[in-house]
Amino acid sequence: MNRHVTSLPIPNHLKTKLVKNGIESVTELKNLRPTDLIKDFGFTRTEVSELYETLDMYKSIKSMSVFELLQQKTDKSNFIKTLTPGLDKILGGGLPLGKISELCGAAGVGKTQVCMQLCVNVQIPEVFGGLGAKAIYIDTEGSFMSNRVVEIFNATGNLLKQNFNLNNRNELIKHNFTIDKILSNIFYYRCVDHVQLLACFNNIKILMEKHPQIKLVVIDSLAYPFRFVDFKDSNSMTMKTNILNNIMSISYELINKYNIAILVTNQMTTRITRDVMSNLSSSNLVPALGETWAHSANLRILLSWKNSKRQASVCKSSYLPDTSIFYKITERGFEDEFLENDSNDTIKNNTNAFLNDSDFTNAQIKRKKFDD
Amino acid sequence: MSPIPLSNLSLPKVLLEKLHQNSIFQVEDLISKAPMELVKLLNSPLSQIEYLYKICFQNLPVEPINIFDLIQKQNEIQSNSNLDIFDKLIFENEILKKGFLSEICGPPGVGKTQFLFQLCSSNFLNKPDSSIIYIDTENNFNPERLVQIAKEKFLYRDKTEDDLTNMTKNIFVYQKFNFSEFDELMKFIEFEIIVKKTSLLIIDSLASIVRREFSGSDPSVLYERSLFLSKISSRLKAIAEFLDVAVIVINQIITISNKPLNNPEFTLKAVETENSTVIPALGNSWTHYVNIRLVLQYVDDERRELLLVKSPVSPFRRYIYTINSEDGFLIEDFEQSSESINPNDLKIRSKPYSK
Repeated sequence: MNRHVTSLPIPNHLKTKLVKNGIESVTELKNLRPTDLIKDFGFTRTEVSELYETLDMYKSIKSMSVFELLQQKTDKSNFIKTLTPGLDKILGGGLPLGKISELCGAAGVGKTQVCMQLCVNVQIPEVFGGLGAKAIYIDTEGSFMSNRVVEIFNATGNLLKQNFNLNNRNELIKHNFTIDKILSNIFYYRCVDHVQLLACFNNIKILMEKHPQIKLVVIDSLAYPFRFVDFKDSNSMTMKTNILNNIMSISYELINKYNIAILVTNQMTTRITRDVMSNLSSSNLVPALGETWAHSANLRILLSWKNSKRQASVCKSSYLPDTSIFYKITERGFEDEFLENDSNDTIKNNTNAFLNDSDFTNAQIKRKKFDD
Repeated sequence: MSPIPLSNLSLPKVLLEKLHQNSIFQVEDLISKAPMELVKLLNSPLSQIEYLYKICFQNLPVEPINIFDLIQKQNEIQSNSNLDIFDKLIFENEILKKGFLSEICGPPGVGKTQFLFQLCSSNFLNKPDSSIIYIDTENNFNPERLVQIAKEKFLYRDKTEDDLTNMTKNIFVYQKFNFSEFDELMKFIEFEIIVKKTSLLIIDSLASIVRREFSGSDPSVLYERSLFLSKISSRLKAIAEFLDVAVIVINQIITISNKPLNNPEFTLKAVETENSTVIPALGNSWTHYVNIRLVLQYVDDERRELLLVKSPVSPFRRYIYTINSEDGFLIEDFEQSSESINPNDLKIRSKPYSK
């Protein structure tokens, strides 16, 4: 239906201005930009805003004031608590909702353990400071162990009992924190290649409509389906970038709609560079998936080995300082490790340790190979 | 995943022709294009592209799995009261778990092959109806030794000679010493596994094949090597998962030096001094690809140890063992320590040769 501008509930002098300039229908009006109205028709800013208010335009565009954002931030339920004080502290409260977080680290450092732990943590009932939500687990490596989830659940239950001074588990059961519930609230996907991974993301869109309580999507690992991409073949490189981008756009869509946390694990790979002058090659350990991907994650956590201790560091974030803590992997998953010499302050600032987050200087191994 | 041709999807004829003109024949080709790229290529509105995507994904069956079923599947290993220490090690740490790709690495002579022979007997005792495929690339396979080790184990479990014969009939050995032969075998391995009802696939060793074929430190060779490794790992994992077998791969060790690169005094002698380290071969990325990593190494002349350094199931564990001329692999001591170890930065101890 094409409405005539004269029928709009706006002051008469505005109507005349419009008709004078040949604007007769509302559709025509809607095609004009505010700058056109001001520049060509001599509208003032107040008049334009009046006009748009009556036209009910641009209502769908949502923005948030910093004030609102700050209020949301202080709202503790905007994080998935890990129940590990040190990790919660360096992450500013836990794994953030509405963000894509990346967990990268060498093999066997505990990435999968953290993922499984978070699937349990996201389900902690609200009375115990959790979210009481559900989780999706996308497994590309085949390392998911449901028996470990049971173990993590038991250990988490014990911790909650201790933290809230509960005498027995009845209190937990009352709030639906039981093993049956925990297991049925993790949706598990097994993907073997990149095509399935993308298909899986499309399936998640439908699943999320049915279960809006889902607050965590874990992909363990995002790197593995792309490791066999031949980097010398430009076609398959484009394919990799496109599929990653498609996955990212679905991720952002889900984040916008449901305010979920997305946790992605990434592998480490050895990058070999050869010095032409001396003909010696050196290698550094860098996260896989390349530089383009490195921009996509909002938060990057690096798990690494320091001698025989494990260390977790925040190394890309717009709101957190670069800090690191020591940790150990226990029955419950990720737990703080307190070193004897500085038990009071395990959190150390190492702002200078990472000059460039994609080039971990302290993870660099330079070596010459003899027989390989 | 097998490619799905777009012609199977009952798309409108006009659209299908357009797609074919742009050499998009399979679902994979289509979904690996960005939506806007397709709009331009096909000259169709975005809504039509979205419809196209929708049809595609309807034909890619991906559904979440119920974890209860998964637990049932993972807990199928029966609890047998008659387990010896070795079998306990295997089952507690789920080394013979279907769907897992496990790796064993260690210096020469530490007992990797002995461990495998023991593993073969364990596997047979628990799944007597299934067979084992053993790919030997180092010409190490010794049937007499296998029978000797199995005999001791079978005595312990009250098994007869017939069982032993039965076992030997169900272990199939493929000796492939060069890369092309190995590659050829890998093409047919899936059929072999199905026909022979295999429950355990052993590659002894992957490293020797890979290192012989991709030798040298030229970046392009290293690149080819890493590509091959990622492909074969994904292949083996798919085999493990969908054909219900456990896959065990043997890895070798290499020596690297800790000396700075641009040191002119740096000579081969450094290998023998403390400036060098022995680590598992095949590189860092490979460590990601395996589900379980076991390390065998020397403690002193007699005793050796087995370390469980990467596993999604168990914490770091240490087993002390000796190699016995009759029983083979004999576990003497077990220790579960709270310490942990970096699976990439192992300093593997070789045999302490006395001067």
